[in-house]
Amino acid sequence: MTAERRINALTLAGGVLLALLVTLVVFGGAIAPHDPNQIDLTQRLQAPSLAHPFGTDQLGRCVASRILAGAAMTLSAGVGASLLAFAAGLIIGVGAGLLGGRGDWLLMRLVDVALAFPGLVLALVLAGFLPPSPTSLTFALALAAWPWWARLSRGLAREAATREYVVAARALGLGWPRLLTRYLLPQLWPSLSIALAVRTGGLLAAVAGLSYLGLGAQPPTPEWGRMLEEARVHMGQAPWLMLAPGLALTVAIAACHLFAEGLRDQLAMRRTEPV
Amino acid sequence: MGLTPRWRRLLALGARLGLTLFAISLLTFGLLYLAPGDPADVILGAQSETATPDKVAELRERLGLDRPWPEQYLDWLARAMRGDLGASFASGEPVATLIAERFGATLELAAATLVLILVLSSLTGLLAAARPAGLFDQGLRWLAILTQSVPGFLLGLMLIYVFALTLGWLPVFGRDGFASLILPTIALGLGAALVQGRILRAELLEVQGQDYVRFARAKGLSESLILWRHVLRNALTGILTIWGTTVGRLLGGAVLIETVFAWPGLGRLLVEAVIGRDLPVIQGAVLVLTLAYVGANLLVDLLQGLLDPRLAAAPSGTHDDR
Amino acid sequence: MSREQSLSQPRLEATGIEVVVATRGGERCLLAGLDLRVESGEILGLCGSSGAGKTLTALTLGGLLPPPLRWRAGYIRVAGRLLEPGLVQEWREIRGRGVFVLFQSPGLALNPRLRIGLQIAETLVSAHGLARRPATREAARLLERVGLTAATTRAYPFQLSGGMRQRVLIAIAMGLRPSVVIADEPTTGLDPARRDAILELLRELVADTDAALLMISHDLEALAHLSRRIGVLDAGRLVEIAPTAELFARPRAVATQQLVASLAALRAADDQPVD
Repeated sequence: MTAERRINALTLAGGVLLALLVTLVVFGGAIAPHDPNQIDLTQRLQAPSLAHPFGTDQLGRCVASRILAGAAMTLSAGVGASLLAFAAGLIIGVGAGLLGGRGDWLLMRLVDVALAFPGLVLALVLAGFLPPSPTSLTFALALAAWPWWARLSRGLAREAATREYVVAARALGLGWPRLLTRYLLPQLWPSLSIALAVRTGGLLAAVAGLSYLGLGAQPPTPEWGRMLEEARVHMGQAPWLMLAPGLALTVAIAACHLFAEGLRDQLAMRRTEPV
Repeated sequence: MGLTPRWRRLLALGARLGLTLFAISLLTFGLLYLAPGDPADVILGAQSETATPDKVAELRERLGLDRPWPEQYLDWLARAMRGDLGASFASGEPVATLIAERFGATLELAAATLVLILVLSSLTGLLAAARPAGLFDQGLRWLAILTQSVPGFLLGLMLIYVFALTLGWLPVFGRDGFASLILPTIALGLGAALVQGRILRAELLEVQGQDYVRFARAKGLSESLILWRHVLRNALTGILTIWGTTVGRLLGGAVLIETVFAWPGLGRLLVEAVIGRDLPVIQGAVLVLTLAYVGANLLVDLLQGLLDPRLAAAPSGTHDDR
Repeated sequence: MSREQSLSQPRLEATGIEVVVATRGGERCLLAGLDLRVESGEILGLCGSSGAGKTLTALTLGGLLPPPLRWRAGYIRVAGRLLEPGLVQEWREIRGRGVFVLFQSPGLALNPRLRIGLQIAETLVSAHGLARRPATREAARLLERVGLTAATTRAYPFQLSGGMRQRVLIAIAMGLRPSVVIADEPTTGLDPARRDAILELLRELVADTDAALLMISHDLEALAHLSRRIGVLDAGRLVEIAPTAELFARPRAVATQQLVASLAALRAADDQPVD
C-alpha cells in the first residue's frame, strides 16, 4: 500500500539531520571559516559577530570553527561506541541464544553482572583507566553498552528459533548463517533500528558528558563536551559560549530521537492497519 | 501449595542476587589490576615521592600486593564486609568515612529526583491518555523528544545561567538547603520524567483497550472504580519494570549533575577519584553505587511479585528494560 | 412481574440499529438496520458466520462500542428506558443491572491481577449496594451455584480453565440479576460436555432471574437446544428471524439455508439421526 511505503515525516527529518551531521564529520574541518586552534588573545571572549558567528572563546579562537572541527570528535566517538556495542552484543547474544547450553548460561550471567553496574559509572571508571582520548572513550562506552544488546538479541534469537517457519527452514537444511541474514534479521530490523537510534542518542550525550569531565579529547583538540566545560568557566562574562556546543549536541541527539520516533510511528501504523 | 511457587521465585531471586553480589565484589576488587601500572607505583606517584625500588617493594609488602590474588581478594572482602574499604591514596582518609560523608547528599538528590519523576510522569501520563492525539498529548510528545535530546548536564548549565546567574532566584551551586536542591533535581529528572509520562500514557491506553476493562464497564462499575482498580493497577505493574532502569540512569547521571552543581555527593567523589586515580576511593564509590542499583532492582522485583500473581507461579524470567 | 405484562413490554427492543466504523475514507457501515425484540424469560438465538456482525451486535446492545466504532442510528429500549445514539450517562446507569454482556473470551474478560472473589463481589457492591464482607460471602455462594467450589474466590483467573472462567462470568450474571443478558459466543473453545454444561447454566440463569437472554453464536445446534426463536445475521443485516422449528424446516434466506445445510452435513457425518 502507498501509505505504508511513504516515508514518515519524522524519520525523514531525522534522516536529513543525520546526513547533515555526517557531512559535518567529513567536511567540518574543511568548511570552518577559521583555523579552530588559532589563538588570538586580542580577540578573547568576543560576542557573536559576522566574522565569528558564535563568538570567540577564552583564547580568542573562533567558536563556530571549533564546533565544525569538533563534530568529527564527538559524533564519531558516540556513533562508533554505539555501533561497536551493537555489533558485539548482537553477535554474542545471537550466538549464545542459538547455541544454548553451558556457554549460553555463562555468558548471560556475565551480562547480568555487567548490567548490575550503572552504565555511566562503569564507562567513567573504564575511561579513567585508559589514557584520555576519544578512542579510549569510545571503547569504554562500548564496553559498558554491549551487554544490553547481548541480552536483547539473545532473547530475540531464542524466540525466533522456536517459530514454525524457522524450524521448517532448519528441517529443510538451511544453515543458521543464511537463516539469520535472510529471514531473522530482516524481520527484527525495525525494532532493532529504533533501539539503535535511541541508544546512539544516549551515547552521544555520554561522550559529551565524559568529555565535560575531562576524560575524552584533550586541549587544544576541539570537542563539544569539552567546549561546554570551558563555557561554564566563563559563563558570567560570555554566556554565548554555551550556545553553539549546546545547540550542536542537542541537534545531534534530537536527530537520533526523531528518527526513532518516526520509525515507531511507521511500525505502529503497520500493526493497526486494518487488513 | 499457594506458597511453594512464590518461595521458589524468592529462592531463585536470592541465588541470583548472591551470584551478582559475588561477581560485583570480584570485579570491584579487580579494578586494582585493571588499572594501568602497579598500584604501588600509582600511590607513590600520587604522593609525589620518588619511587625508589626499595620503597615500592616495601609498599607492595605492606599492601599485600606480593601475595597471590585470591588471598588478597578474600582479605579485601573480609575487610570490606566490616566496613573497612581502605584509605584514600590522595588524602589518607578512610574510604568508608569519605563515602559516609557524601552518601547523604546523593541520597537526598536521588530521592528528590524520584519524587519529581513520580509526580510529573503520573500527571503528564494521565492527562495525555485522557485525550490521545489531543493537544496535550501532542505537546508532551514533542517536549519529551526535546528533553531527551538535551543531556542532563547541559540542561543543568542552562538552568544555572537562567535561574541562578541571570535571575538570581536560586543558588549557583553547592548544597545549602532546599533552594539548592531544586535545579540539580530538575536537571537530573526532567528528561526521565517526561519519557516515563509517555510510557505511562502508552500503558494506560493499552490497558484501556483490554477486554477486562470493557467487561468491568459491562458489569456496571463506576468509571472511577474502573480507573483505580482495573486500569491504573495494571498499568502500574507495566511501569514498574522500568523503574529499576531509571534508578540506574539516575545514579549514572548523578555523576555529571553533581559535578556541574558542585553537589558534594558520591558521584562527585567518584569523578574526583577517577581523575586523581585514587583506586580505593574508586572501588568504594563504585561498590556503593552499584549496591544501591542492585538494591533498587531487587525492590522492583519483589514489588512485582506482590502485584502480579502470575509471577508468583511462573519462574522469574529476565525482565527486559526498555 | 406477570407474563402478560412482560409480553406487552419487551425487555429488550432494538429498532433500526446502524453501526459504522470511522476510516480514513469516511464512515463504513457495519450493521445496517437491525431490529429485534426479546421478552422477559425468553432466549432469542442470533446466529451468523464469522464477520456477520455478531460481536458488534453484542457490544452495541450492551452500550460498549469502542471509539472507532459508532452507533449512528436507531433506538434501543432496555427495561423500559429508551436509548438513542450519543448518550453516555444513561448507559452508565443501565449497564450491569439493566443489560449485561457475557464476553466471548472469559480468559480476557477477567482482570488477571485480581482474585475471582473480588471480581464478583465488586459487582454486587456496585449493583446492589452490598457491604464488602456479605458481598464476598455471596460471591462464594454464587460460585457454588454454578458448580465451582467456594475456595475459587481466592483463585486468580490464570489458575482456572476456560470452562471454569465461563462459569465465573455466569456467576456474576446470576449475582447481578440483570433485566437483559447478552451472551456472545459463550461456548467458544469448549468441548461438547463442557459446552452442554454451560448451556444448561444459561438456561438456569434465565429460569432463576426471568432475564431476557440474547444468545449469540455461530453454533446453530446449540441455539436450537436453547431458544424458541432464532435470528440469522449476514454481512451486518438481520436476514431472517423465525421460530426454531420453522427456521429449520423452511429456511428462507440464503445465509440460513447455508447454515442449516452445513449443520445437516455435520450430523450426517456424525451418523446421528436428525431429531
